[in-house]
Amino acid sequence: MTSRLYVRVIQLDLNTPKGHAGTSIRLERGFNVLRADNSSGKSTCLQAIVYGLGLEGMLSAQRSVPLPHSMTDRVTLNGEEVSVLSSCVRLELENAEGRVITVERQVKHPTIKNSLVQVWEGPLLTDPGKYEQSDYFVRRPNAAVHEAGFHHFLAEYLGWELPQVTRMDGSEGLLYLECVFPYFYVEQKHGWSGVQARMPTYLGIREVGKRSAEFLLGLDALGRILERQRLASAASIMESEWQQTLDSLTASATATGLVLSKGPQHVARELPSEAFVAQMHDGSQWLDVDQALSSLEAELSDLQQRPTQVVGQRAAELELELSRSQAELDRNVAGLVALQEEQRELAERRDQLALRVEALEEDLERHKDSVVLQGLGSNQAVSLIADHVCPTCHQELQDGADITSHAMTAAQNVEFVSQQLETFRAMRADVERVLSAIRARADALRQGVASQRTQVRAIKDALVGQNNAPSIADVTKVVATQARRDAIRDNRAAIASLRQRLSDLTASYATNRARLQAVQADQLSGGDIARIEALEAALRFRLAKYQFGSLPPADVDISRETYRPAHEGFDLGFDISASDMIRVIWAYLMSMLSVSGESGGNHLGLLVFDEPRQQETARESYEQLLLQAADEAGNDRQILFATSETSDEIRRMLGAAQHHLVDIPAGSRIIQPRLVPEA
Amino acid sequence: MTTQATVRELFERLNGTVAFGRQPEAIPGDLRISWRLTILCVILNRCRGSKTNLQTLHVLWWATRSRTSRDLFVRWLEGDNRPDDLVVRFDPSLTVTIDLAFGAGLVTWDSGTSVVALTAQGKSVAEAAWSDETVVREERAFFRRLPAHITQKSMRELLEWR
Repeated sequence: MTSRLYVRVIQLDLNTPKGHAGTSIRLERGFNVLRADNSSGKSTCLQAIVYGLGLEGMLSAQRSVPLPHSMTDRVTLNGEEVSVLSSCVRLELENAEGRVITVERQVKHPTIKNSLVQVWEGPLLTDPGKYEQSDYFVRRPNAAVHEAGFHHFLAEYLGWELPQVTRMDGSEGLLYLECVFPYFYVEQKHGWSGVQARMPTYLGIREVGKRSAEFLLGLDALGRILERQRLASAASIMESEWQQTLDSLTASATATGLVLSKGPQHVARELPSEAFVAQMHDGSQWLDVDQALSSLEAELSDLQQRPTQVVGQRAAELELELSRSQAELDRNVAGLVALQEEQRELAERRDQLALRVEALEEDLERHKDSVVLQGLGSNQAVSLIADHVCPTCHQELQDGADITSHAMTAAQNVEFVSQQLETFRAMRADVERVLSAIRARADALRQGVASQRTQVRAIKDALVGQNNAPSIADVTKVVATQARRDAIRDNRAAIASLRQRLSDLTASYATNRARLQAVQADQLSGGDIARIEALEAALRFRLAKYQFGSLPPADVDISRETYRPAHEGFDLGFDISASDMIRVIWAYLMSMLSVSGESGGNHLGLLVFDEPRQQETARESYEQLLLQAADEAGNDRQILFATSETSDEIRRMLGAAQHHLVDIPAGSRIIQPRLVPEA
Repeated sequence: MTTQATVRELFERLNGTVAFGRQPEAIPGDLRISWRLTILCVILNRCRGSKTNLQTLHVLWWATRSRTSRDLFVRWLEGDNRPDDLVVRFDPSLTVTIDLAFGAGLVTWDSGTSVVALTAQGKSVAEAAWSDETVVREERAFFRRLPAHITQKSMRELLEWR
C-alpha cells in the first residue's frame, strides 16, 4: 500500500490588539511553487507544516518553537508593528485513501499548551462544518506509542508501520517520525549544508540515518534486522523458561528424596539423555526413578512378608542402643548446663555495664546542663559563679575544687564522658551479641535433648513392652519405605513432564539458532541490491541533469554502509562547492522519492524545499530542477518549492510545465489583517 | 637500664627544653557549680513560699541526686516504705553550695530558724532553668512526679522513723 501525505491548506492565524491577522495558503497535488519576497514570511509557512505536525524535533534538539517572532511576539501589519496576543497553525491534510483531516496547534496562547494538537475528521478549512474532533499530545514522552499521542495517530493516518529499532543504550524503541521526515523537508538555514545535515542523532537511535533510509526504500535489510532482534528476544525468553523449569525440576526431585544428574545450566541446542536424570542411591548404586520405584517395591514386599522381629529377639540390640542414646543425652544435658552458666555470667556483666552506662549518661547530662546554665547565668545578669571567683573572698573557685586543682572545663568534660559512654555502650552491645548467640545455641541444644529423651523413652517402652509385640524399629522401617515409594510414585509424572519441557526447549532453541545464522548474513538481498542500484542510477542521472561539476556523476556512489551519496568511501560534502551541495541534495531527495515509489517503499511522495540563500543558488540548474520537479510530481505526489524569484522569472522558467503557483504580490507580506477569523 | 635512666638519657639527647603540660582531670558532673546552684534554686522554687528548713533541704537535695533515690523518695511519699530502704539524709557539699548561693545573692539564710529562702534573682534563675526543656530534664520529671505539697508530717516521718 502506498503512503501519501498531501498538504491542502496551510493556515496561520494570529490575534492582535488590532484584530485578527494571518494567511491561508491553498496547495494542490503535484508541483506547487510559493513565490514571495525575501523576509515576507514564506519560510514561516513551510515551518508551519513542520510545527503543525509536531515535528520540530527534527530541526533542533531545543524545545523552543521554531517559528519567527512574527508568530510569537510582534508582527508588522500594514507597516505598523503590533503585538501578538495569541497565534496558531492549522493544516488541512489528505492521505492516500483520501481521508481528509484538519490539524490545529497553538503557537502562543494564554491557556492552551502547545503540546496539544487538535484534530478534526474533515476539511474544516476548505469546507467549514461540524466534524468529529479529538485531542492529542505531542512533544512529550510516549507521544509515538501512546493512544493519545499525536505521532502515534499520525503514523496510523499515513499508513506507516514504523519499525522497532535499537537505541544507543541497547534498548528498543520505535523509529521516530522526526528521523524520517528530514527526507521530505529541507529548511533554509541549515538544510542545504549537507545531505545529513539535520538528521537528528540526539534522539539516541543507533545508525539512525541508515534505519530511516532502509524504511523509506523498503529494504529487506530492515526486515532482517528486525528478525534478528526478534530472534534474540525469543532466545532470552527461552533461557528464562529454562531456568524456571530447571528450578522446578530440582525442587521436585529434592522433595522426593532424589538427586538430579548434571546437565547444561543454560538452554542449549540439545539435551543429552544422561542429563538431568532423577536418581536414588540404594546403598550400592544409583538408580533412576523407575528402577528406584521397583527396588522400593521389592524391599517393601520383602519386609511385609518377613515376620517382624519380635521384641524378645531384639532385646540385646535394644539394650545396647539404649545405653548409647542415654550416654549421648547425658552429654548434651551437661553441655546445656555449661552454656547456661556462661549465660548467667554474661548477663551479670551486661547488667553491670548497663548500670555504668546509666551513671555515665546522668553524669553527661549534668555536664551538658552546666554548659548551658553558665550561659544562662550571664543572660540573667546573675553570676552563677561562671567566672570562677568567690563572691565573698574573691579567691579562685574552680568546679570540683574539693577533689582536684586542675579540673576540666564543662565542655571538655562533656567530650570526655561522651567518649567513655561510647566505649561502655560498645562493650554492652558486644555482650548482648554474645548473649543472643549463646541463647541460640542453647535453644538448639534443648531441642536436641528433647528429641533424644523421646527416643530413649521409646526404646525403654519397647524393652518394657510385651515380648511378642513387633519392634517399633521394624514397623518404622516399613512405614518409611512406604512413604518414600508413594512420594516417588506421585512425583514421577511431574518429574517426567518437566524434563520433557526442557527437551522441547532445546528443540526450539536449536531452530532459533539456525534461523539466526541464516539471517545473520549481512549481505544485502537481491532485491535490496537492485533497489540501491536503482537509487544510484537515479542519483547519477539527476546530477548530470543539474550540471553537478565537482566530480563526474559516474564517480558518485550510494554507500552500502550509509545509503548516502559517497565518493571513494567518503560522504560527499567535504570537497564540493556550496552550489554543488545543493545539487546533490536535490538529486538525492528526488531520487529517493522516485525509487521508493517504484520499489514499494514507504515514501510519502512529499517534498518541501525552502529556497537556499541567494548566494548559494545555482541559477541554471535551478530551472532544470524546477522542470524536473514538475515532471516528477505528476498527480500522485506533492512537491512544494518556496522561492523569492520574481514572478516573471518564475513564469518564464516554468513555461508550460504543469504547476500550481501561489504568487504573493511583490512588496507585500504573507501575514495580512483579516476581518474575521478563519473557520 | 632502669626507666629513670632511660628517660634521663632521652632528655639528654633532645635539643631544646622539654615542657610538660598537665592534663586536666574529669570530675563528676554534679560538682559543677553552675549546676549545683541551679538545682538548689529549682528545689527551693518548688517548695511552699520558695523556702524551707535546712533538714528538708538536705533530704530533697539527696533525693534529686540519683534515679534510685528519686524512685525511693516518690515511693516513700506514696506510703510504700520497705524495711531495706536506705534513706540518706545528709550531703556535706550542700552546705558549701548554700554558702556560695548566698554569696551570689541567690538565696537568703536565716541562721536562727535555719530557713533557706530564694531571692528574686534566685527565683528568676529557677524559672529560666525550668522553662528551658533541654536542661535538667531528669530533675524536672522528678519534680513533676512529686505531690503538690510535701507536708511537714511526711518529712518528719521520713527523718525520724526507724
